[in-house]
Amino acid sequence: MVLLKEAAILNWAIPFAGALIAPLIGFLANKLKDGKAKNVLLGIRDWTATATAFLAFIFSILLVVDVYTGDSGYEWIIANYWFMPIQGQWAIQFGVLIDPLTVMIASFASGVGMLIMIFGVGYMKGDKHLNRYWFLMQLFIGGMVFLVMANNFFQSFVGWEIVGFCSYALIGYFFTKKNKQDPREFTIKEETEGDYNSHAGLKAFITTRIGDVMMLTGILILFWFAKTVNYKELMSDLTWITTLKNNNVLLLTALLIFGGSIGKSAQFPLQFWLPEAMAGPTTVSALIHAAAMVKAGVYMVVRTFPMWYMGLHELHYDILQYYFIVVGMIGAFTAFMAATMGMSATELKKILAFSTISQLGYMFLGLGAGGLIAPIDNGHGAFEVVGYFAGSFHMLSHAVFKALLFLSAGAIIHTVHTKYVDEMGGLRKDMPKVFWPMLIGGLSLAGVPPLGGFFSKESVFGVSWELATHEHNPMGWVFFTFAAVAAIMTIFYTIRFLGWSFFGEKTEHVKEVEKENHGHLHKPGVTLWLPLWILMAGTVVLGFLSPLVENFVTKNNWFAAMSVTVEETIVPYGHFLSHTFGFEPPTFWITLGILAAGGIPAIFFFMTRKWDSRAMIEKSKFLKGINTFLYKRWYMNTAIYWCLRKFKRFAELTYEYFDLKVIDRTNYVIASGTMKTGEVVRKTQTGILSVNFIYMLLGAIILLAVLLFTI
Amino acid sequence: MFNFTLIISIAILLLAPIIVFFLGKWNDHAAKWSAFIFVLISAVFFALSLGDVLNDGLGNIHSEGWNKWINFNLGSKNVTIGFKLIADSLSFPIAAIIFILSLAAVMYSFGYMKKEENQGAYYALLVLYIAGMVGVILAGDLVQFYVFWELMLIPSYFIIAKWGSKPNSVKIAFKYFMFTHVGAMAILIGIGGLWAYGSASGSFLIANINMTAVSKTVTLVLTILFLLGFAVKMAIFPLHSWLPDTHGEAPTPISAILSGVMIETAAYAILRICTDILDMGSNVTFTWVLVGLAVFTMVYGGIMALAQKDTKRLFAYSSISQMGYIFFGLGTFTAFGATGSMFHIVSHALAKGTLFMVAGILMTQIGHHKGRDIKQLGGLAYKMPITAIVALIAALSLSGLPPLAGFMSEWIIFEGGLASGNPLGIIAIFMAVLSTALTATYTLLFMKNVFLGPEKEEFKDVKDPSPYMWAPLVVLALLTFIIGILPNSVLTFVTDAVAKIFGIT
Repeated sequence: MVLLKEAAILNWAIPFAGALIAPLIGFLANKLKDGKAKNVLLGIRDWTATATAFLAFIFSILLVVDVYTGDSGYEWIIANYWFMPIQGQWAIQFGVLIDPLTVMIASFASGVGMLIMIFGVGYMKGDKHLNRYWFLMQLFIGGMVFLVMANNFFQSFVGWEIVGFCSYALIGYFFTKKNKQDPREFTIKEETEGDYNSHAGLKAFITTRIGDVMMLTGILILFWFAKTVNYKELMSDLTWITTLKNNNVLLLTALLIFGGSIGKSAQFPLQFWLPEAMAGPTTVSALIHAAAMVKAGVYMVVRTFPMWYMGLHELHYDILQYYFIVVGMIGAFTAFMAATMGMSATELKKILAFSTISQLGYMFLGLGAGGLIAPIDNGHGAFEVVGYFAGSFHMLSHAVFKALLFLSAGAIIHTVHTKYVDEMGGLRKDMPKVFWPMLIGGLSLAGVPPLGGFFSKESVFGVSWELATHEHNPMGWVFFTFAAVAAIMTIFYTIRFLGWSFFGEKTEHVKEVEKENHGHLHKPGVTLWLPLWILMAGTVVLGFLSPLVENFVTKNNWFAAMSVTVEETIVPYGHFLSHTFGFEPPTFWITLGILAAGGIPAIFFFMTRKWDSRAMIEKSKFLKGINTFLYKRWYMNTAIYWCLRKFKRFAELTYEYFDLKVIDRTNYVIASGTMKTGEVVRKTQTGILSVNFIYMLLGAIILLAVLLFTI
Repeated sequence: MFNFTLIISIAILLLAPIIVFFLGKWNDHAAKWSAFIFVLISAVFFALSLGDVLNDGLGNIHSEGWNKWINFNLGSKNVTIGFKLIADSLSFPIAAIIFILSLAAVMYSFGYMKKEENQGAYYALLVLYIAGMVGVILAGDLVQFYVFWELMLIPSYFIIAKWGSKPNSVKIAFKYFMFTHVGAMAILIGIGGLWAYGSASGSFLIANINMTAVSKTVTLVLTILFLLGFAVKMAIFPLHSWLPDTHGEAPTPISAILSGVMIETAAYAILRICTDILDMGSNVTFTWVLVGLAVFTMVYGGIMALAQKDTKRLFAYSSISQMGYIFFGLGTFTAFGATGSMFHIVSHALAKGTLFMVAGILMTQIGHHKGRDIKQLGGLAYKMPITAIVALIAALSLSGLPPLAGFMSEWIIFEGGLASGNPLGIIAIFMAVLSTALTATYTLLFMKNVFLGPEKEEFKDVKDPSPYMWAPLVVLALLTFIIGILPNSVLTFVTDAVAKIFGIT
């Protein structure tokens, strides 16, 4: 059933159009004198922007209904060629692809985006440059939806870069702000909002650009050998994989395209831009982390998953297993590494940033592990492709709870005017409207049942468990270990930031803020808390909806090119549900153990404050060393800056000593050499008649001699 | 239409300088407006030829003029020099971008040259300079090509010597002249060679030259001669050292034209002469050498740009890097590469023209020396929002960010690297794509150091310049955007010509 075909265009075209309309309204409003008319017009601008995101959400939901009631979605080629680099050949299409994956991401990107926009109306009130803010926010959401709706790599890449640009501009939104510290020494005292913002934006852009270089190269190679970049064409005919294999570039292409995701999704070794991305307004952080930008990287891996999966299991190109191992290992290591950093960070938003990196790692882990598992015969003549779903479902549930956490963090920072968790404390009673959503969001992040985060993370565990036990692949144990250790730390740092901010006594700083506000804290308005509660409801419900989501996501025919029929993909937690809290998958019990291992000490440290973590760190030299090491992000950021400074110095020295002193100098040497030769030779031209006569005579003699000898 | 439109267009450009010069004796305003109007009329006549071009079919060549202009006998061989202007789907878009950027530069000069003396002479030389560039692109005869090639050099030499930044302007103009002229000598010898070996009838018309029967050695020598001349103009490493000085010290409108279109005329000429007539692609070793040089040039230019502390020198090095892209596309000898290079001429002209003019705005609004020292600038975005926005668009286009024009052209060039079948193609395109990241770094560092960052007290009265200076930039930025979204607007022309050269049916 196709409700409205055009919805697939409208859901990105409307935010794009709004990106022009809202600033225009604002521009006109700013021409007016201060007064009621101006305020009304500015209000219209803010809500116009929000409305476009809302419309995008509605149209995306229409598409969800389409796909849910239909078979598996469809492709709509709007223009047979967008442009043609060679006459009559190599056309690049322009079209949209409506399938479970695209509409799912489009709807959560626009839906969560819309809630963030509503939050932003209150949060950003009074800023002078909101025209720019609304322009970029809408472009951001539109770009993200454009990216996922695109039906080919090329078009996706266009959206990919639009998203990258928007994050650059939004991270550096307060670009005139600068703190006293040197921006290159982020590692000494870490700051976020109000940092050297333009620097942070640049850092994000250039770092992701490194990933984009790899991805673009990958797409170029793919296009050359496959002669198309259309997803559906690539999936329906796999001969191009053989072509790539015969040219020895199969693994290279797969990894290069994955390189883009490493940059975009802030995975090791390109993870260092994300913590600084907190420099932008909190709404921007929420959008980057939950709905757009970093999710684009995961989307790309999910999108290409069936291609490489079939290359491995259908065409039996074993070399592709290294692709999945790399994806999984990068994810596993990043999940672990970022979680350790999250345990020692002191800024609320930065802790959340580390948790995002870590959770993205889980998604890649799930996909990597899933790719290694061969299709399983389920005994009914069909096969299960395990793991495809795990990564994409975690992406969905992460979008909801991470937006919730960021917006709550924004509300707290807005109220207590500090971003350091150790300057907060005891806010539970004063801000219940923020406390409850944030608590639920935090528990979902930690993977506490029965919230959305539990189900999605559980499925990631399940996949790696499956890989280890059924496939007897040692990588499965590696993945599982990393995932488990990271999960212990996740619940630890979650309770840490919840505890520091909401429990315990009020700190001096909070009391001061209270004093300034006549004895009580400034309460967040309705636009600030309402989105939180909606998101909270979302994360609670999502867990129970998971079978529905699973059926939906796996309703695609990407695996149709396989010689076997694929009924549906079932992930282990599905067993868990179907067996009524059954005993079959031990991962459930392991999860509970993990939660206890990380959670119980954390409760004593940070909630009840029975144990004093800071005193412990002060006392022990060992703990202090580890804490500093983690706080400085494993010194990786410092190392990167060291390299960059050296590179800059190298450029300067090359310029000074090679370009100027060697190449350019050569010109002058030639020039002055000519001049000097001229000066020497010039002296022969004396102008004295007798001397000239001697020259003439000499010449005549030589000429005669030559004539004599030659004849 | 009349079959005279191109001739009229060129004739106006060639005769207008006299009028402009004498009007300038009387009044500066008369000089500048007359220059603008003459270029505009010329551009309109040129645009009229679009009808002819389309009528003749995109793959065919529309030509105007005389086959025999000068005719005499030299020994036993006939010498026939024609005056022929050709507009086909290749020269049309490139000449069009020259007109667009020239009009922008002339209008921009209204503001930039306001306080300079001798404006009549300046505008007269500027129009003559434009005539030289348009003539090079439209030339259908090799001698005529050479004459216009030098006509492109001489007026710009005088402009740089007289109105360039003091005190080095004369010296730098001389350097510029010598470099380009030595290159031109190589081209002249090459033209003689083409005539001697390839022209049976003794005609210098490009259409009459056929090198298929000539031995490989001769072709190779001629190709190298031509490439030498053109590589000097394009500033390919290691022949680039004239460019940073010249583009840095020339008056800004001239820098914009120099970087934006003049050096690219060489790329056009390579495609016309080296690829089409001399068929240099048949020699595979050449692919390796040229692609290697091109990749080196783009990375080297990018690294040098990173080290610059002066806005105009920064953009000059960036031009060297960008010429590397164009050279890369041509060096692959594939339809992809050639199409991408010709497209990149257009998108680079728009972006680099804008950036140079932004640098010029900074110089006029802040100070001639202070305004180009990156270290002293900062936080200007709220002070000059229009300038900041157009600079950002141009910077992003240059660094290949879709959906701007720069990305589309670079993408096609890179695909050419694979299409060449060179086993090192993947490494080459990886380096090439990597240098777009380098481009992003230096252009966005420029944005950060000049427009972003904390506002400075000393710049609190700085404002956007007069509309004469920003309007051309806004037009160029809009074109960057439109061509990026509708790349076919340029590609339909270019692909036809390229298909003809490479024999794609």
